[in-house]
Amino acid sequence: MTIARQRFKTWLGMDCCSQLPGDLLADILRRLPLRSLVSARGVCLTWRAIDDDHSLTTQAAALLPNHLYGLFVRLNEPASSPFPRRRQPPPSPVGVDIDDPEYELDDPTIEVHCNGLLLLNHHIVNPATRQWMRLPPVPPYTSLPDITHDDRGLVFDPSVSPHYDVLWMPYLILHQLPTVSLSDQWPPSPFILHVFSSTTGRWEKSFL
Amino acid sequence: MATGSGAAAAAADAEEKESGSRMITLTSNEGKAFVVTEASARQSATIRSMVDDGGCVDKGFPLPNVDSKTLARVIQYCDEHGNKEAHTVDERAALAKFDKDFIAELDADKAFLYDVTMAANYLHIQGLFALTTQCIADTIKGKTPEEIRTAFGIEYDLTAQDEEEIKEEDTHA
Repeated sequence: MTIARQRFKTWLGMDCCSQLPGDLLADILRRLPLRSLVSARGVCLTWRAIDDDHSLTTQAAALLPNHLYGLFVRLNEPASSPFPRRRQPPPSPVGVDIDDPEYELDDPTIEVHCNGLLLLNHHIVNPATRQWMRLPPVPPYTSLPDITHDDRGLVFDPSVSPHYDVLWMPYLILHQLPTVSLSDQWPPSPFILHVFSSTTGRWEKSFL
Repeated sequence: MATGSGAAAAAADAEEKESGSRMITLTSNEGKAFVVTEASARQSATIRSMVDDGGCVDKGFPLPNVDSKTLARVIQYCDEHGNKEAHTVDERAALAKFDKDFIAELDADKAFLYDVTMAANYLHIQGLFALTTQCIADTIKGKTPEEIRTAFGIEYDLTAQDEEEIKEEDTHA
């Protein structure tokens, strides 16, 4: 163990930059998402210098979608705007007009949002990148009585991954549940959470 | 009776067959010789270019930067990827499973993992290098700087001023 430790040190530590090609460590650090890369910068002077030399953090940050500083939602357009009109449009206006017929939104209500990603009426919209997609239909809750309500959640952090998850949670009213499903292990738990993952592009089932 | 062109084609076939089954000797820094198929050795871009440049195939290739234990493990990877087909879904799945088991075993012995990474870098074995560097990156991922230092046995050498700079950066990140 001590020997292994020593070898790590001579491999990745500061006293051995000549042995360990900085390029090799750079190749390792290059594989990290931005948040981990920022942590790696704080490890020691060597790692920090390698990151600087190869502009790893700068490059990783450049891959992120435009940073979203905030979100304005204007309701009942075109009622008088609280913002002064500009003669010229701002240099790089970033926005999505959700009334645009292109989006085919019957009810453009923002249900949830997370780090700049919006969920509205079965659509995922990223105003910063102007990308949007319609979610596939949510699978039915087979073991439950008719669900009239469900809650939605969105998980997205562009500094970790460009991917996101959408959570679909049923509202459960206990006295309406079939008793058998509460008392037995089988049939399986009715508390099913549907999770849409942009990595797979499918709804997956999660059991609580 | 073979015509002129038929004989030439047969000769070319024989030559191709010969190069396909040609064996290459790799020698570790401890002088231990490993005989591998050319297909396996060609996983290494370094050896591939030496073979294609008409290098000393018969004499073999001495590898002064690689010890026997590391070379044996690297050859295990090259054999699997060089000698096996990866055309069908099943074949690709089998290779992916091999990679998964291979890296899991290496991950348990970090010092050896680093040796293999260095060798993959030196021999330019792209697939193996990607596999090992990703594995090391996964060890770093999600850890605080302190946890990374512990995992890699790195001494803390940042001054208070560096710390301040990092904090400053973090608030912007």
